[in-house]
Amino acid sequence: MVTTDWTQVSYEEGRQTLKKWRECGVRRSEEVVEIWEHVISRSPSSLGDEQWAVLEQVCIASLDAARVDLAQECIDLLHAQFPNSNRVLKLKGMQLEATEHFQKALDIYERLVEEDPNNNSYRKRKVAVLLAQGKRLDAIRAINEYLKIFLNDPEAWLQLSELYLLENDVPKSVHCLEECVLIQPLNSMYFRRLGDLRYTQGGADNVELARAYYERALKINPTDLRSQYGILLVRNPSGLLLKDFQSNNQIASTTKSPSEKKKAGLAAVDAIDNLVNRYQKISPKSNPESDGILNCLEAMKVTIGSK
Amino acid sequence: MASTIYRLITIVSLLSLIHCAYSAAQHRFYLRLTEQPFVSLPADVVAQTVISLVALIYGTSYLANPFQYIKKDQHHDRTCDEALNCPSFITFENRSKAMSPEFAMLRTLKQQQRQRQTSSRKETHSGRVSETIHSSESTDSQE
Repeated sequence: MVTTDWTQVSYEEGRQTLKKWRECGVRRSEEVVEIWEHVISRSPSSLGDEQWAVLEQVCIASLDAARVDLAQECIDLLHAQFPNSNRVLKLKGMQLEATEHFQKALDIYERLVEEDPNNNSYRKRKVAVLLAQGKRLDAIRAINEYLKIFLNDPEAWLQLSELYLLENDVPKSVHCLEECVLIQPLNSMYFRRLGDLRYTQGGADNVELARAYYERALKINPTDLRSQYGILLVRNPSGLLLKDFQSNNQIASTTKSPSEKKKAGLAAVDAIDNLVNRYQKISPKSNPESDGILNCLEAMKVTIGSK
Repeated sequence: MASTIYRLITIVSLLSLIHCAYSAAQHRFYLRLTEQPFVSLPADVVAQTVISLVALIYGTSYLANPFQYIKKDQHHDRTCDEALNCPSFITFENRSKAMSPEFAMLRTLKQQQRQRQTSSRKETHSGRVSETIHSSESTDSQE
């Protein structure tokens, strides 16, 4: 595992990294704050127009890293540039959230929603306030309300699915993820997760569905390691898994017709071959476990192949 | 094996294409020498060109990387952290608050406030108790 010291990167590299993270939406708040403080804040004006987007990003990241002072700095700079901006006001609301003044934050968001009912980010923040207070059921209700208005927001569906999972309501969570798939049919991550959920639900039909989902994920993303393991998991009743899984798998395999069974077995063998190829390319230095996993996989292949 | 066959097809068809170009040039040269007008290339040259072109396309399409599924994930290298993260629902209740000196200060301030409140309540309570004790003592002494 190579770790980068983000305080030592060059200006251009820091800028590119921030841009990458901003676009893919990954949450790396402490690193963002480090890059800003040690690299970019030397001369923020040389970013040009990108400066304001970076400031917003840094502001949210610093709130996440409990650096309210830095967030205040960013908000001040942004406020000086855009005095009447609702977006800056939203950041202010987020700062209030971070300092646990939830009611004040909620007031700000209420006002923003009234002013601009078409902007969904303020409504999302209202849900986030509920989440921050730990009122999960209220948050679920609020997201449902939100989704009645903004039906094609995959992020909200995903969040709702996550919340249902926290409530142990797998079928509803599955439904939410299916909505995500409808919106973004080529995102392999959704299929993989759906496979995981179906497998968790258990039962012959669901395990069969899980296999279909894993295969779909693998088809649109051939490098998906977890889906390959998923296919193995759905098929493999060998002793490498927990005994509890074993009974589950046997139920699945007894109800299947022989031809489907054979197909599943072939898919599992393919998956093992791919996995073995993957692990053979890894040097033991970068992953000291790879040899053990390789041996495991070979043993699995023997057991599955014999059936 | 298979790839050598495709490589052979590609090389042969490429040579054949070059040969076509050469024979076409030869044909024009011959026409110029015999002072005949140019109408079209002879059929065999045209046929050879077309066939070798098709063969070349066929060969190179197999020589390049294997065919990919048309519907594929555009961002296949993204991780769970990126794809299953909801940045607009971000909440700030995490461990960084417990690590931060500012929030630690806030917490202690709040605690002190709470302690002061409870202690002041205690003081009034204990005061009343001492008063009652005093009064009982005084009644004792009177007896």
